[in-house]
Amino acid sequence: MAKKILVCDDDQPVAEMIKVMLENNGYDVRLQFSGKAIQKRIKEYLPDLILLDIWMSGINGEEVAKILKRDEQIKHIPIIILSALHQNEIKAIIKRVEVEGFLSKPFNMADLLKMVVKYTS
Amino acid sequence: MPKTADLRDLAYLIKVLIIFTAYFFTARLGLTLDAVSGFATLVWLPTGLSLAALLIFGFKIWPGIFLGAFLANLTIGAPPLVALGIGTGNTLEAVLAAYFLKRLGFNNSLDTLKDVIYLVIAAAFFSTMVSATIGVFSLLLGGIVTSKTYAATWIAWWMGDLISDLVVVPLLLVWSTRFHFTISIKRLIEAIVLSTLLVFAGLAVFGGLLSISFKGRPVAYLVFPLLIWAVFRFGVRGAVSATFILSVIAIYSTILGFGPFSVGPLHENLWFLQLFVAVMSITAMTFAAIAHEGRRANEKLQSNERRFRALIEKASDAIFLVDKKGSILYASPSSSKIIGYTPQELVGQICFVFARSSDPKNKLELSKLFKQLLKQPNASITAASRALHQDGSWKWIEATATNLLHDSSVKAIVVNFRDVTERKEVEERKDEFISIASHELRTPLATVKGYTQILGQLLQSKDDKLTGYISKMAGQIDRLTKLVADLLDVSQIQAGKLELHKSKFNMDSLVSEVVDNLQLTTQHRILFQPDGQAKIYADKDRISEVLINLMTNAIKYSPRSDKILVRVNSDTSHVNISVQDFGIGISKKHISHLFERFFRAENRIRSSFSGLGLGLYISQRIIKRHGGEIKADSIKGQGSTFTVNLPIKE
Repeated sequence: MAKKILVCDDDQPVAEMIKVMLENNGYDVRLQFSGKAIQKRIKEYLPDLILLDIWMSGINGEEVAKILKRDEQIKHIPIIILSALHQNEIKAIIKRVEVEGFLSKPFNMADLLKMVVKYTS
Repeated sequence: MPKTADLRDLAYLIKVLIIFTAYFFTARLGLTLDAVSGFATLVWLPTGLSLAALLIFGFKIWPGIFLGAFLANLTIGAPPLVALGIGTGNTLEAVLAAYFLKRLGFNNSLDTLKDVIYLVIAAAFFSTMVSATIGVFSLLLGGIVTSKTYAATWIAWWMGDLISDLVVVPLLLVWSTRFHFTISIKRLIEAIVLSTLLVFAGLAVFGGLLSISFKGRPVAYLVFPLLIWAVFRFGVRGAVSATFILSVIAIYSTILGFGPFSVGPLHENLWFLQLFVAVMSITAMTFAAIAHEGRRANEKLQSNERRFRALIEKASDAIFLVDKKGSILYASPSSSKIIGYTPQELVGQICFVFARSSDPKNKLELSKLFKQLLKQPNASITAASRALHQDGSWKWIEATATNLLHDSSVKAIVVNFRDVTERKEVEERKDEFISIASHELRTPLATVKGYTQILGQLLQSKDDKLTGYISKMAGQIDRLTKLVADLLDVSQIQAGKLELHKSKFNMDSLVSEVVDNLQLTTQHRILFQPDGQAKIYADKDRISEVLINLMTNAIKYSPRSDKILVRVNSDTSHVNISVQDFGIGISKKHISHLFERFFRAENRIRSSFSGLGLGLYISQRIIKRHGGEIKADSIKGQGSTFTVNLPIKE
């Protein structure tokens, strides 16, 4: 069975591009364009990995990650931060929340796939 | 119309004529008064007159003096040769006195002690001896004095001239110098009252007015209070004028047989009177000059003080003077503009009281800086801090504190500070803008890059031509990504926000990884010579960025060469990485600018080499931030070697 990946990014073109990339490589991908109701969505879908953007309209990805990592039902699911922020800023965020990894945009498909493989196997 | 030269000649002739006339008549007047041996007189006005004339009009008018002296003596019956001798002596006396005074830097206004001393010694005391000696010697040669009367005649002559230099010269000089006539009614009344009292007292003491006979009684000192009044209220002019008035009255009264000096024969009486006049004149002039100098020094001090006070008080920067405990001793008026408290409210407070309530950490840092400053005399420390304004708002204050505790004229720590709230806000807005710009530029790039890679993957091994196009697109997207990253890095560096995220890694592996990646993009052979151990604690991503910059530069600037040498070597404390190319090289004058922002060595051939000129600047900042250094060696036309030297541990 294909591994399930939830991509949470308010920038639709990016989210769709990631979807294509991952589907082409045999993953099952669902998109989420905001942080709202994300907990409910995860509990329904039960992904193997979450790709999470930081700057989203209405909600901060950092907050979303904190909420998810506090939820007993969800917190085992690995989260990879994807962000177009400067590396320094991303690294500062990583220090504050316990997520599994990060990729800064624009990223190489190979790097993304490597990371996805790492956290879904 | 007469020419200017003619007018000048005419003016000169008139001056000479005036001097001649004045000299002639005052000399004749003097000679009619009790003259010793008929020629040496105790009141010799012409000496003072001639010296003052030379000092005021210059040396050229000497013929007037000579003619006056010669003719005055000739017309009272001196043989022509004797008159010629006397005339020569009198002229020489004045010329020598004026010459020495000018050489000594004498000032006609007589308002310094130095001027008074020069006049008394060089002119009154010494130059007059010349005239006395030549004049009396001429009389001796002419048989008018004998060797018995020689000494008495010489002394009478000398004293007459001396007293003239002390009484007449100051009066003429002081009143001939320019002055501002801004006398008030009050001062005018005071001057009139003083003059009246002087004349009255002079006549009473010396002239037998009020029918009190002071004949032979030692009461000359009675005029001194008035003289002191003149000196201290009317300065040098008051002093010399009062001296002149009293001298004239005293001499005339004594000649008429009145007053305290009328004891014996007239010439003897006059001799004692002369002593009195000389002492009175020197005393008055000395005190006036000292008082004037003191007043002037004080005025200068006050005007300096006013100037510096205005500088401090009108400056937009506010200034605190703070003692070693941090307590405010003085606060300039601008303080109230910056933090809202008046100087009165501030004095006595601890200077970082405003920073205190904002952030305990901040306060701790400031007091730490302060303690550090206390240990370093003359050192300055600049720091910015948030501060609470009196109106409750928060401000950003930037302060520079200088330790002048050991400077005897300050004995405090000088803190000047300014409101930089606006600047800080702009900086914050700029930082925010950079973050947004970064995000907004990278997001679409991410999409384009992603789809390009997807396309590449889909087309792989299906269509060589299309794959080629796509890899070109991918290359350009990478370039664009790098440019955006560089620009943002520069902004971060400029804002002082170059943060390092250090970890332990093997330098050989990192270099090898970078070499392998770059090798895929270039025809150059990148030859790597590893060290074998080279472990280091540093920011791996940042060091990788530097290596990429150096190697891509090496490739870019060696278009006709086919290899790049990369070496790593280490010792116990440092790791060295060098990147050597065999390309165009860099000229000596450009090498020192290589690491400047936006610098490109070969601007003129811009078209051949792309880039913004940021790579080396960023690389250098990254290496410096690690405590290492980066340097370039190059020979134009033969290639360049860039060497990075990094400490293994900071």
